Amino acid sequence: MTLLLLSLLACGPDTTKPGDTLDGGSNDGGSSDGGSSDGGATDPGELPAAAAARADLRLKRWRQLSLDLETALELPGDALCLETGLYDCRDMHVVPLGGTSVPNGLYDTINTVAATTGLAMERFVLQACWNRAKADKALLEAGQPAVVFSHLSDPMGTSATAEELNAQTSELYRRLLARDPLQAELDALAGLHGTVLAEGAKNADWAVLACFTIGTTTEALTY
Amino acid sequence: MARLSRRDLLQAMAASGGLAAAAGLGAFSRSAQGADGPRFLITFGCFGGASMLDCYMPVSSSEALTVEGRGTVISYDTVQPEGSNIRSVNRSIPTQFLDLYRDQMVVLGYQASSVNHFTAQARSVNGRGIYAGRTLGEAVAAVHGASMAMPNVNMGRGGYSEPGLDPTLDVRFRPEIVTNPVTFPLSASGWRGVIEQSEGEGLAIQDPEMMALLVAHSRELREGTLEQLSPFAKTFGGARRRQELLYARGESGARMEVDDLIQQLFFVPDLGEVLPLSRYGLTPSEEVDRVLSYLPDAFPTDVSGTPRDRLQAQAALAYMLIKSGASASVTLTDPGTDGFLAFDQSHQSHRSAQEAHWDRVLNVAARLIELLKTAEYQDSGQSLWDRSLVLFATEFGRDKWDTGGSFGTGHHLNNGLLMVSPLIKGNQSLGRPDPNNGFISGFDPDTGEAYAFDDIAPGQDPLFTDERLPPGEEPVFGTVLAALGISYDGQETLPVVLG
Repeated sequence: MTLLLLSLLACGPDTTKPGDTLDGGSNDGGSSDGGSSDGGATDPGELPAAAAARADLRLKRWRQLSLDLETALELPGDALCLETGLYDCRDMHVVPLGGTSVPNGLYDTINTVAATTGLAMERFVLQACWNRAKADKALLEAGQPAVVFSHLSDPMGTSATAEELNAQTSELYRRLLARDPLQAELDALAGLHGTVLAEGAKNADWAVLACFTIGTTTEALTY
Repeated sequence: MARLSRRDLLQAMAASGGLAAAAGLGAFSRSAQGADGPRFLITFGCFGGASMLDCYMPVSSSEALTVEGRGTVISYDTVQPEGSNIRSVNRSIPTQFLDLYRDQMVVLGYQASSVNHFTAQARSVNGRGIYAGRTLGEAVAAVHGASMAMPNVNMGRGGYSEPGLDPTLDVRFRPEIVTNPVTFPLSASGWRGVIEQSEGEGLAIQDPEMMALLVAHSRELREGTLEQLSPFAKTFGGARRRQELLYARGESGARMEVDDLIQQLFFVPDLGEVLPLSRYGLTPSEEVDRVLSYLPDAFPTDVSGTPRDRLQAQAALAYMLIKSGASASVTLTDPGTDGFLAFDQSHQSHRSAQEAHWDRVLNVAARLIELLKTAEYQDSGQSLWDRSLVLFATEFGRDKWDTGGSFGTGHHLNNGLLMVSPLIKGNQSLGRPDPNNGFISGFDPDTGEAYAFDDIAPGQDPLFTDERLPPGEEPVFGTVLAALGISYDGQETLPVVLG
């Protein structure tokens, strides 16, 4: 919600109606209908963002990162990310993710971005996306609808329609960034599909990578 | 699946569009700032006050003064091995350590400026801010670790892990905090080892080499396109935290992945249910067996992931960091047998605490030094140890009087410290413990001649203004850096240590 408000403030009152954005960019975690017919794209011309004079961003700490991923991907916190299947990322990466470690005598958080902060965030998001994909696959195999990765008719296939890709991308943008993607962003993610499939990947690979890519933008990791 | 060469991976990484790419692959070269390669600083933070009176500057029991109502100056049965200028408490580990390294050891009187734990710890590694506020680790990282992935790794606690105050210092040289040396390598990649290999999903991202390529494509899209065109990026493009995160990803993060530190730093083998590395496509360093032969208690035995001996695990990671060319400065801290207090257990029982923890840090330091001796620095004919300095940062001293029984002691400014290195003039004990009050004196910084507190009445303390007190944080700081080939304006040193 904070991100949404920041975006609204940045856009200014003359460009996007708050009501429109709230409807189109809600992060209620339940949207799986593929959004609007155009995949939820927003015309870039509607968002003439101006540089913020006081760009005082904060990095999401481990708890915020975890809670946001829990909501976005509808997974419990302890199922988001376990290193080697055993060690909860919220504990293991707590210091580079802005936490403290009393057992190690670290009572204050580090007031900088550690060398490993970016990598720890990537690991956290990547595994959360992977775990969501696995859970969705299990749901589909059980005859139930997938929660997040629901827009690809053939996940193990090597082709998908533009509508499928746009719908899946829009789903991820709404869940991870609480907004609709720009047309240029839809095009970029569709381009990634072509690129990774040319390397030998499948639709499901792209879906996880799209989740990772969107979920590790600085827009997703700061507030 | 496509099989990628190391060069392919480098190119894929460079294609991700980060700062590393902008800097070119040459940024990953091993060349150091100095013409003859890097020097390495290993700091043992002796948490709680490691008293030199209880190790290498002891008062002999036969000389110690007893004052009625006050007690007896803390004293020991002492030994001074033939050929050594250093006196030791007569206990196996300190004497063995002395036998092994006396020609590279300097013991000197040292006067701390605070008896607050965190303040004294921080000052012991930042010289009270004498070098623009940089810590020893930061100073070494900036000179010797400029091309390294994690030039300044800190496994310390409290003040030993505090960053310095120099605002001009590149954030890459700030301490990289490590809480668990065993699992830390998992922080050195954004993707490798994240996804289990044996789940039978049949996806490309389960193949590590394919994953490297696919993640590189994803990052290229993210940094090169999405981070440029989104309204958020346009609005907050210049935000400091955003820039720092992008910098960390494109600079340090890229270096860690190119050097494959997630695997190179693993000093433990696949431990099955405790640490199932192979199931996640991870292969530990080929040095595992050798490291564990020197540091056998460095690995965990249960799913807590906590190593059996945390200090040995720190030493193992320190070695791996130096050996792999990832770090120029590493800081370790004795976690204490209770997990916390270490030397500060002296409040409860001075002698047993000092004995247990001196033995512990000396033992682990010797194991680390021997490991470093076995590894050659590139093809120089020199070992890694030939280029290293170990500093035992003792925080502060303890009270000087044995009041009987299993007495405890409070904090005291007066103490000493220990350096071991082939880069200094060893076999020296600088300063002298006074049997009348337990104070360790200063010394002439050029000749090493000890000052004497002869005119101070038995049982009385020297004044704070007494010029015979030992050197404080600033000259010790300057001396350590000078030994490592680092100079700065106004640097104060102890020439007798440097030889």
